[in-house]
This record gives sequence, C-alpha cells and structure tokens, in this order.
Amino acid sequence: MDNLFAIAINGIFVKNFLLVQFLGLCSFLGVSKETKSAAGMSAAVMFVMILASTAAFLIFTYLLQPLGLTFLTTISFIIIIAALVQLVEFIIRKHSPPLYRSLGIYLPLITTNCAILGVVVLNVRLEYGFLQSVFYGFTAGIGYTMVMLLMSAIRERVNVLDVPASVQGLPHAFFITTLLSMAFVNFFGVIPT
Amino acid sequence: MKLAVSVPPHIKLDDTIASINWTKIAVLIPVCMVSIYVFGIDVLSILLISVFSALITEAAIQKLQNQELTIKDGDAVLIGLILGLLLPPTVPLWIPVMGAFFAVALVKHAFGGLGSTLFNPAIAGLVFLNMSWTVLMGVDSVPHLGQYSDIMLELGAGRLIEVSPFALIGGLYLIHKKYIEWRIPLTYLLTTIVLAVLIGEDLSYVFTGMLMLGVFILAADPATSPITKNGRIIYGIFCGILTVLYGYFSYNYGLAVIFTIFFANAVSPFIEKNTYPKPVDEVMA
Repeated sequence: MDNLFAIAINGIFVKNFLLVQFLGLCSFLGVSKETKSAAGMSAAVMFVMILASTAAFLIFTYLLQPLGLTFLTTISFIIIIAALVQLVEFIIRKHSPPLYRSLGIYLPLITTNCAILGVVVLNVRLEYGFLQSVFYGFTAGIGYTMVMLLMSAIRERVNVLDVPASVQGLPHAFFITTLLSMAFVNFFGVIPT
Repeated sequence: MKLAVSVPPHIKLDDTIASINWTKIAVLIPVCMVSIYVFGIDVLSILLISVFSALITEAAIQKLQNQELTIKDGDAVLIGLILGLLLPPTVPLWIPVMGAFFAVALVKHAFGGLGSTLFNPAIAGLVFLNMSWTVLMGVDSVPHLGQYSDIMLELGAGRLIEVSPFALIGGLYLIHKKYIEWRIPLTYLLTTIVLAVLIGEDLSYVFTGMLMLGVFILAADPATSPITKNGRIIYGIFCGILTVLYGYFSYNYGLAVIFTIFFANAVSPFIEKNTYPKPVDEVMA
C-alpha cells in the first residue's frame, strides 16, 4: 500500500474520487457539458489538489502536530484550500478570460469541492509521507481529469439524442453517472491493492 | 424502362433494422438450443420470460409516451434474449423480469431508444442484477475447454451462453452480410488471444462462449461502439487489453468480457470524438 504504483492505481482507478467515492460531484455534473470547460476545470482541480496536498502536509506535520493542535486540522485545511483557489482564480482570470467565463461559479466553488478536502484528509488519515501525499494528490487529479473527459465526451454525444422530456438535462446526467459508476466499481473492483 | 423520381437515399437494399436484429437473434438460436439440451427444459422458461418482459416493458413505455410501437423490429427481443443467455441456469424466474425491465426502461429508453443507447442494455441489465442480487447470480462452475469436443459442447458451463463456443459461429455470417463490421471483432479477438498467450494464461479458460458472444454481438453493437474506422480498431484493442487485465486478476474470463464491454462502452464516445477524420487544410481557429 506504500509504494507509489499502488497509490497511483488507487487514486486513478480503484478509489476514483468521482465515481467510486462520490466526492466532488457538484463540479462534475456542472462543468462536464463540453470538453473545453471540463478540461480547464480538471486542470484547475489537479493544480489545487497538488498544491493543497503539499501545503497541507507541511502545515500538518510541522505546525499542527508538534503544537498539539490537530483538532484544528479541518479548519486549517479549508483555509489552505480557499487561499489556493483564490490563487488559481487570479491566474485563470489573467491568462484565459474565456475559460474564466465558461467555468463561472464553479471556479470559486472548488473551495468547497469535497474531492480536494477529501485528498488532504485522506493523506493525513492514511499517514502518507511527503512524496506520497503529493503523489496521491496528483493521481487523484488524474483520475478526476479522466472521468471528466469521458463524461464530457458522453454528454456531447447525448446532447444530440432524442431523450425523453422527463429526464432531460441534469436528471439524465445522473443516469449516465450511475451507469458509469457501475462500470467503474465492477471493473476496477477486481484489482487487488 | 420505368424511372421513378424519389427523395434520397437512392441506394435500395433489403437490409432493415428489423432484418439485422432478427438475423442476430437467429445467430443466437443454436446456442439457446444447446443450452436447453445441457441444462434442461427449465432454461427455456428463463429465456422466454426474459424476452417477454423486455417486450412488455418496451410496449408499455412506448404506449405511455404515445410513440409508435416498435416491438416488431426485434431490438427488445434481442435484448431479452441476450440477457437471458447471460444468466446462470439456477436463477429464480423473477430475476430476468427485473433485469429486462432495467435494461429496456432505464438503459434503452431513458437514453433515447433504438440506436441512441450509450451502454449495451443487456450488459447493463446483467451488471445491475449482479450488483443487486449477488448470491442469486452466483455461477456453479467456470467453463474450461479441456478437450477439443468442449468447443462443441461444454458441460462445465456456468451460464447459458457458455455451453458451446462453436454454436456462435453464425457471427461470421453477420460479418459476411456486413451487419457488423470486421474491425472490432477481429482486433478484439486477436488482442485477447495474443495478450493471453503473452502473459502465459491457459487459453482453454480464455476462449469461452462468452468471449464469442462479446466479439460477435456485444462489442460490435453499432450503437455503443465508435463510428470511425480508426476508432473501431482502437476500441477492439482496448477491449482485448481490458478483458485480459480483468481475467488475469479474477480468473473469470466470462465476467471479464461483460465488465470490459460495459466499461468500453463508456469510453467509446471519447475514442470516437478523438478519431474523427481531420479536414484537409483546416483553418486554425
């Protein structure tokens, strides 16, 4: 469970944050309508995940633990993530205004994206070292990106289909997510970790 | 000579959706007969209940939505028949009813009906049953082609479809009639066998009736596989790799085919999107 390969398989496939652990579904359903914004969102989430797991590890190990302040873990992690999201927002707004507009409200919402808080909390709970923590953040981001790209391709195709009026739009996205999740859980459930 | 002015398309063939579906059903009939011979007459009730529940679900949905009834085109029959064939012979008779309802209502019609399905309905139905009633869906044995006669008649089959890989040879006729394209079946079969040999797997476990069904009917299903030619080759190779991967970890090459194609269906729009032919002299945006 400690080597990096096992962490990668776990983070990307077996314990995929979106489809197996159901974390971060809000941005998943909100931004996966087209590939461009899905890719932008994934890049932003991955960036924040890596930075957040780095910063969270440093703060937890060198500040909270020595001072016996571990009861502040959740609050300090939330502050770290919020600060990082602000940073990403500045960068995207400056360098890619169209992407900024297409992400819309979902960009500030990364702050409350449970997938990111999930990564840093899991890092602490699984007692990962520095390299493992950062790598777990990275692979979780890869898994997020993969599912976002699959889902956006599916939704672009589903857009042109004649779906019954009663399930059009968001309900239909939940239908797709259900089946995708069934595919993921069943297929990757077999890989021993 | 009599000339007629008509709207396009002008190519006239006898192939219709109904003829394609009924041909596929005809290809599956020999396997049904062999499995009735092997498992006894009870199997017939599983198959019939599965087919009729699929038909009734489809008719009810189309009635409710005021659509034209299309139960004669054979698609619902095909879904029911495949679902029935994927079940073990020991299931209680309400299992195919639930599975066929899930397949036709939630996987076929909620996605827009014939030709719009994202996932193969029969496979999704089986996976749903497998997750919901795991104990009831357990199989008694895993097929093992120990001798050459097992290709004709496999008595260690755990599911109806696994009784005879040879009985599915009619799939070649589908390729001959171009009802399915040769790219997916060929690349899928070749990749699976080559990879299995490379990792030293016993081919007698790999080559089952389930693999034949997957290669000829399930993977090559036109609605759920990519439409581009390169995409189909990638899709076939992808299926082969995943099948061997799952089989390697689980020692169950039958379920491997099911879960592989279910997962590959999810990836198919992504493959399709990235293999569209590029326009010549494209103006960069």
